[in-house]
Amino acid sequence: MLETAFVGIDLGTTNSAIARFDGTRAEVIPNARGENLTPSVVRLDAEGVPTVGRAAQRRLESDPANTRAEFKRLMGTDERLEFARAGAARSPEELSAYVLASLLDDAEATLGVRPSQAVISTPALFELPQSHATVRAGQLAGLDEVQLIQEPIASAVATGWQRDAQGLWLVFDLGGGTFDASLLETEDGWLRVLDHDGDNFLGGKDFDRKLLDWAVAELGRRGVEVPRRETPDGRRVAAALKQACESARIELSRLERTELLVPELRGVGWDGAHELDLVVTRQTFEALIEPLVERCLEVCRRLLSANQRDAEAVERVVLVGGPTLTPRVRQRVAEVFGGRVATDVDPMTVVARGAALFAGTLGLEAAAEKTSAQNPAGLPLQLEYPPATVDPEPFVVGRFPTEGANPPHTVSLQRGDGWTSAEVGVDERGTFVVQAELAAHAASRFRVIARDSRGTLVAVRGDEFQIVHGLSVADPPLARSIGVARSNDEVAVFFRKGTPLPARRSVYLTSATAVTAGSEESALSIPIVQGERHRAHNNRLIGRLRVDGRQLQRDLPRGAEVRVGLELDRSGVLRAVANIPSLELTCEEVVHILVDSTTAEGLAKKLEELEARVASIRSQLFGGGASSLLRALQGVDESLIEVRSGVELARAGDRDAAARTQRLLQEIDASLDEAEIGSEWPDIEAEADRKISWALYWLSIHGTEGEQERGERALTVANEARRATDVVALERAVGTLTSLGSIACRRDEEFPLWELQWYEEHVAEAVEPEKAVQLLAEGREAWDNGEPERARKVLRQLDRLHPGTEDERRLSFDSGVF
Amino acid sequence: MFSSLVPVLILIVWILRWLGSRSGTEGGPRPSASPQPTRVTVHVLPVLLFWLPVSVLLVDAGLGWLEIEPSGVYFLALVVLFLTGLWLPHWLGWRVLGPLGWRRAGYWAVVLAPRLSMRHHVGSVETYIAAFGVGRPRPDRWWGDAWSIFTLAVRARGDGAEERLHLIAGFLDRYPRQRVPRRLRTQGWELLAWPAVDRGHWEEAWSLLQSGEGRGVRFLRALVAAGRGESELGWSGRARLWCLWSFAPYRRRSLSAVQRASRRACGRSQPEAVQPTAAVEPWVASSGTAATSTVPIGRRHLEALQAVARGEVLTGSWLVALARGWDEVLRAETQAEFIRRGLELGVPHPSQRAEEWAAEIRHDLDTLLQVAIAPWPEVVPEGALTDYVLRHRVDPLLDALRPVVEPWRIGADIGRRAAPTLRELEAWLELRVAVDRLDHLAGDEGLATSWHEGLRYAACNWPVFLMRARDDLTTNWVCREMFEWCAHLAERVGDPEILELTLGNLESLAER
Amino acid sequence: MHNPFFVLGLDPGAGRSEIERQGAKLLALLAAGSPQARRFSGPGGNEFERSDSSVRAAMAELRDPVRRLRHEWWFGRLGG
Repeated sequence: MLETAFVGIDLGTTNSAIARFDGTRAEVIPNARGENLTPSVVRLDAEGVPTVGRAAQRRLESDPANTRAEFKRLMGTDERLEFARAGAARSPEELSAYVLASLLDDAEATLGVRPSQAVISTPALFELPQSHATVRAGQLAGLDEVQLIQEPIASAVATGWQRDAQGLWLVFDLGGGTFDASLLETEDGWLRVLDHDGDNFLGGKDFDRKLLDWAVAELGRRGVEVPRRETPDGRRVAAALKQACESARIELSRLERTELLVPELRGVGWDGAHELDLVVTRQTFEALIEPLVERCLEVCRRLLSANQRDAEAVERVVLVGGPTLTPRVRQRVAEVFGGRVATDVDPMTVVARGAALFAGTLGLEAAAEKTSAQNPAGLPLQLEYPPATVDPEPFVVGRFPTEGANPPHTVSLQRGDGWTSAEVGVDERGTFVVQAELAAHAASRFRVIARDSRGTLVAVRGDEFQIVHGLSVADPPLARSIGVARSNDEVAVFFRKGTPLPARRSVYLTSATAVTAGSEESALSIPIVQGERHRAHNNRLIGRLRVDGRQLQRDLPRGAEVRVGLELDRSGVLRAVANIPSLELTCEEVVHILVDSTTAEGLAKKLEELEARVASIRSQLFGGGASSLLRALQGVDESLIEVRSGVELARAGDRDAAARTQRLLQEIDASLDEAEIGSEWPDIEAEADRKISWALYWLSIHGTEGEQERGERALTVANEARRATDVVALERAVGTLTSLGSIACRRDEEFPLWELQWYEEHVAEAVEPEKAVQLLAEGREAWDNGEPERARKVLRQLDRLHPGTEDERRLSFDSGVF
Repeated sequence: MFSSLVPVLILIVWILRWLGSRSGTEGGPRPSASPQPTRVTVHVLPVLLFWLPVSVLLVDAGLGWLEIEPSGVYFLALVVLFLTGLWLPHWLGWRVLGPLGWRRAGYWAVVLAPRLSMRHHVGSVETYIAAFGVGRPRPDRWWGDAWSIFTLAVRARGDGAEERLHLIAGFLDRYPRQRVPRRLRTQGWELLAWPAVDRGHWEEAWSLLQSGEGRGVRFLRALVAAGRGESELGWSGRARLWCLWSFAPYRRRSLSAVQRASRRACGRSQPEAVQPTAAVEPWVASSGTAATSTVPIGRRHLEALQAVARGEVLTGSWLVALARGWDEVLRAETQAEFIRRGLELGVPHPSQRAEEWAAEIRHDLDTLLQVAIAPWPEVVPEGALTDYVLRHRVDPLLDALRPVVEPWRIGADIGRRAAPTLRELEAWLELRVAVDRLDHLAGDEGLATSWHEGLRYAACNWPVFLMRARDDLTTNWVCREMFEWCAHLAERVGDPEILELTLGNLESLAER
Repeated sequence: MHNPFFVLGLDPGAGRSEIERQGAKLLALLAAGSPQARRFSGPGGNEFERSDSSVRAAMAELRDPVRRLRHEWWFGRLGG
């Protein structure tokens, strides 16, 4: 019988790794060169044959037109990367698939069989489209079944495995370009993710950049002019300097001082006659990166305080990612967390090992067909059991189909080493529950022994299974709430933040637009959004379910019932279903949208938009703008110069420059957003004030004491949020107050009248105007006859006919449902 | 020929004089009371005033026996025309315009109808308002009779103020029977009860129909009794109902209700459009009263919340027992245990959680307080939540009383100008309704609190103020009602000073 | 939402591993289509429907110490 193996893959931006878990140990599978890490670099030759890894990486500088790296950043975009010699273009998924395939080759060489199922890790802050692209890359690489795991969970799983760890964990994951902090908790061996936070624009490359900036300044002081990056020489020198800085950073992890050697400068800005003597000490480097390290620690503190913990409560910190090897990082983390840093973990491979362990908990065996060597003639048996668990005595549930055959009388379990469970009875429906006993911290194989009423053995099909002891991962919680934008700019929340995955839910909504059967243009649009804000337009659009006229046999009227179902799997892949009962129609779609692309054209377009935005803000400032905007604009001009040159470089084919420019653009955008929130803040505050005083007014008149008390609490929160300029918290508190206020307001005798008057003004927007007019008349009559309760009932019916105003509809990503 | 008409005119004058003398003798303590049409006059008057002249005219025109001179014919024709003008608008309003849905036009027909007596006219208009639900009677004109009180009743009905309506109905019931016009006794009660009948509020209709009389009231009583399910409607009961219906007014309006009642009796009960609302009975927890219950407090708490969500009410005793239960649970030791367990489970800031938890329970008790009714137990609050519940059960009700009571307490209202008596009475009724509600929900203790917070001044000084402002029969009657209520309250809360004062006031009122 | 201890059919003193074991057992029973697993008794002995999502949600509730503390008190000390 073949050895059990679960395979996990760390598909990294810079390097990738594959690991196996055999039920006892998780270890990295080295590649053909004997290295644990395979660079995530792909090169295509003239025939289009790919080379992956170190061999490709060596050609990255010399042959950038046919070699690609860092394509993970582009996952989920529609961008295709050109390979000049092969005359072909590949999508980021395809390139990732090459890397995966190369890793799977290495695994095949070690395991003797090519894995068909695996777990792949993704960054914690990956959006749904990026996760989805990762799954597709796995499928392109030949995997039948791909499950995803978030990198911090993988790290924690790998670190916590075979340890009697207890308490709170912090995973400090500093990658090349991103920083993730995750808070986890272990109790009796059960691992649970509490929360994540992170910074998408903070990583080891920023350390290099600080060093590079310092080097350029130092060279300038020595009278060496570094050529501009737009020139071919400039590019060559820049690449060399970058490489030198990266090497220096790594060397400074071991050495106290090192020299930056850039022979490419000879003849360009430097005569080569005298020594440049560009020595960088660890002290200088640490001073340079200090602000960046503090930024990381700030994220950790924010995460802890959001979960009402402090650094003292953290039992163990796990450092993940190459840049965490930097001594200053380790030192600062140890200082903050009282030295409770796990030192025995290899930060480079921990994620891959965690992914393999997670494959174990899912029972995702590398070679799925392996279990076929079983009795094909016996009674079929359906078995349900945890593939991996910390529970030493888990339950195993089985069921024999009762149709056509009598189920056995009793059942027991036999472990590979001879241990046998007590015999349990099989009920009349063919179901049995038996408790297994696992060998500690190992994989236990079991066989189901079935006997009939006379004690004779009964042959059973599918009677063998395996349970790994020592590891359980709780259902991962959803990081951000997901819902459907309604046409009145509200959100029908399907899954709240923290909902355990997988999750499935359906909600009945109403169509706000009519769809003509057969027409391509006319469609019912159901936007799916992610975020915590109250108004739909403030959240992020992550997908859209479309029911267009071509799918319909009959016209879909306004006001029709639409059942929308959303299903999120453990990996965060979202599936949406719209069901229209009146048309007996069901539309299903895996929600998928693209993230921003980084083609030179795309960048240029974004740059144009950004320039326009800056110009518009500048013109606002003439009318007396906020100081936050002024501060933001000061930095923007400098950054824009860099962006312009970056776009030029991207046009010239510099992928790294393109990626960097993309990030820079996002950063500028984000800082302008923040500044604009700052400038809009008075408006936001005024709006909040208006709502708060409205709510307090009604609470004071009709609120119960309890409501008033809750109102006061919300008011305190709102005031705190106001002090901290926290829009989300303010909105949430104001939302609470508004709903308390509207409960109180509804108690007013005149309330039905006001509502009726509002509906009378907006009757034209109702989905069924005739019905709305009729209901309004009825409501009016009820009110005039002194039957407020009946009027309220009519109002509830009217509410169901009202999809919101045109403006709200536009804001809600043109939602066709409410 | 005019001379031949003299006997006719003499007859008419004689009859009118006779009628006047009759009403004079039945007018109660004072002869100035209004002439009341009796049952006989209602039937005789049209014959005498309308059909007799018409017959005379017809006989003369057809047979020429009377040989009336043309001037006499013109005179009789004028009498007929005048009387037609007197009745026609009423007939149009009640029989044509109202039933056809032109209620407003019918109202104006009745308002503009020529009048023989102003009091009569007001009664007629108000009955119309009560019957067709148009317009709103104004309580500014005080005619000093039962119609005025009916005005208040119609206004209370229009406001949907059921408690006030019942108080006024009680007044009408206590009003000297001979001074309540027959039309009011018959039509008035019937009209007041109709909206409740229409909505299937049988209990409310039943209490309103206790005092009236006449065909309509008898029929409605039978219908309401069937609706209340008081007796199994056998075939005889159904026959009686149908029989009463056939004699009752508003047959078309009541047909469907009778059909429903008899269908229900036949056991062919259909889901009805109008479901009778059951009398509000306090919810009784499955576990009996909380004080003696062995059911855990959490379950009782959740069950009570569920009952309230279903629209039920619960008694103050029950709620106080629940609060006491909570006080026992939320003792310092238990809180400490909660915090200890929190620490054990790794809850951040467990003491903060304990506070939040207590606040949530108080919020729930707040919800329950909204629907708790008397009886309230006589207990000394020992814990924070019991104290909270006992204190808060009265607060909102006291808040409602304060704006009315305060001006009397500080004496501001004594100096003001009296509004029309009906307006004063209406305002006083509002106070009385609020006090009754307080009494119902908070019992003696609530009453005593409000009494000493200023109610004693309002109860005692209001009738004194009104008595000083006016001296007429009905104002005095109203003042007596007010004094009696004040005396009743003073007795209940044990305030000998006010009781003595009020009894003295009652005596001086009787001397007027 | 029902008290998770009712959904899982556990006592409030149940440790983390008991919760996970019971949850896993119920999920397995539900997956195997056991009709008994589809119902549970609430407070006062009323029967309610149990589904895999309600089991998962109950487990998630009890994993969170703050929420668990509340449920534990309502269920164990207070009987609700």
